[in-house]
Amino acid sequence: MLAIICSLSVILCGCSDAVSSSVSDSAPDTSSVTSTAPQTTHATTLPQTTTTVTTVPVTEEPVQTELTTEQTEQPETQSSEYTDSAETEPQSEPPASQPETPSAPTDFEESFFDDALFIGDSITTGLYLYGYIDMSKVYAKMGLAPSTALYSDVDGVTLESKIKTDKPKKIYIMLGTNSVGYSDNDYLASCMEELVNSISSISKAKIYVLSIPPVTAYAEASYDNYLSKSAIDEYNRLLKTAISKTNAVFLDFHSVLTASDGYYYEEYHEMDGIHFMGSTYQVMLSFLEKHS
Amino acid sequence: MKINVTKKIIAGLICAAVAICVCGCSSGTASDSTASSTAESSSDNGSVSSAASAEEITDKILAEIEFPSKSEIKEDRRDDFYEVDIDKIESYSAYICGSGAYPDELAVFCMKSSNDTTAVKDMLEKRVEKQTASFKDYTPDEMYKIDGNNVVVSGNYVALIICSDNAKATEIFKSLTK
Repeated sequence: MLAIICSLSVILCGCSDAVSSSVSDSAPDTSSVTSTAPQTTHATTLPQTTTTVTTVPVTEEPVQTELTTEQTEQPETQSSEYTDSAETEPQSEPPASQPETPSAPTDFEESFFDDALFIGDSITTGLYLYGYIDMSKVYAKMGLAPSTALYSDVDGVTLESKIKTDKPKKIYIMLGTNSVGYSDNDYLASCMEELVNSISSISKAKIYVLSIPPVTAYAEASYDNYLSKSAIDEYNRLLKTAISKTNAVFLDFHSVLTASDGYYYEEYHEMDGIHFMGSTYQVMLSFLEKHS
Repeated sequence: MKINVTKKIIAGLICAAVAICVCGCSSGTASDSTASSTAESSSDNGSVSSAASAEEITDKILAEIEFPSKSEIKEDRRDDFYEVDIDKIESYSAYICGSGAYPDELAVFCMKSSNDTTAVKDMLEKRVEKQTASFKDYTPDEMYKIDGNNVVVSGNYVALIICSDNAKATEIFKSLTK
């Protein structure tokens, strides 16, 4: 009898353990709810580097696109790994070209831009969408182009009105991505020249015009908008010439974002191969702070 | 013989008592387990889900649905995007696609009173109109996300849902706000 009772106890203890086990199994579910909390894409999650930029162009004398060749001389972080691998596995096929790693700095003081105004298209809207720059300092909207910036409005406010009201001391303009490929690049560059001259007529702000960013090879091939590497390069070249006729400063930001193959660094572009990643805005603001 | 019978009776009683105890514990454990899972999945009795904060709701939706270039619109930036009487908000949480490439946006407002939801709903519908105007010509392929069912009201809660799976996000929102 005692044996029966003992057996029952053992069985029951086993059941009890099983129940406990099932309860504890469910515990991770609770924590998983917490662990799935979204991580915002802000400075804390972005790669930081204090490396001094040696390849970015100087403000007063914008460096030619040949600077891109300097970037090819940057050490490739995975090159040594590739060498090791090649030595240990000689039978393997030559790997695809290793992605280059950009080294542009990302540090900047937000207060530096307190008296600034950013003019641009959807790429520029990311400055406030990500929260790097206050929305009031960004005059940008989707589709804005060199030919429309003067006559368009953003939330009912014209550019002229915005500048007269805010009286910025630094104005940064990056426009053209929506138009390059569709319009003649000479015409677009002349529109930018007209835009700068118009702003200069109503404001004493220092004006900086940025070359437009590159695209990815994927975007170039998949987008039916003629936004090609060659068209972008041509526009940026013509833009530099056009801006040299004004009192604005041309800044070759394109070179900072461009790998040696002429396309975007992988780290800098959004999935569409055109827009910026969050960290790219840090690179942009760091670049502007150092060159304006 | 009587002693054996008595022993058998006692043993039987002990077994029954032990079985009852165990069943009781088991039942209690199952009950606790159910309650726990109910809390997590927000389910049907509503007792826990009714206390879900806006942040808990956006967390749950974002855990289930892909959201490109997620950027949180914290309270210090809320006024730039949403015009709402702050005194009437119980809790708030919002995210937007930071790159400007996609229209994805998720905002949840838990109001102190259901009477305050109408103004928020109207404000969010104007926001949808604005985003429609911005994206319809710019990225037509993304317009399926702005499908006309982007503002959802449930009890004291109002949500703006623009994402790759509005139906699923709405289902999650409603399940947490019953």
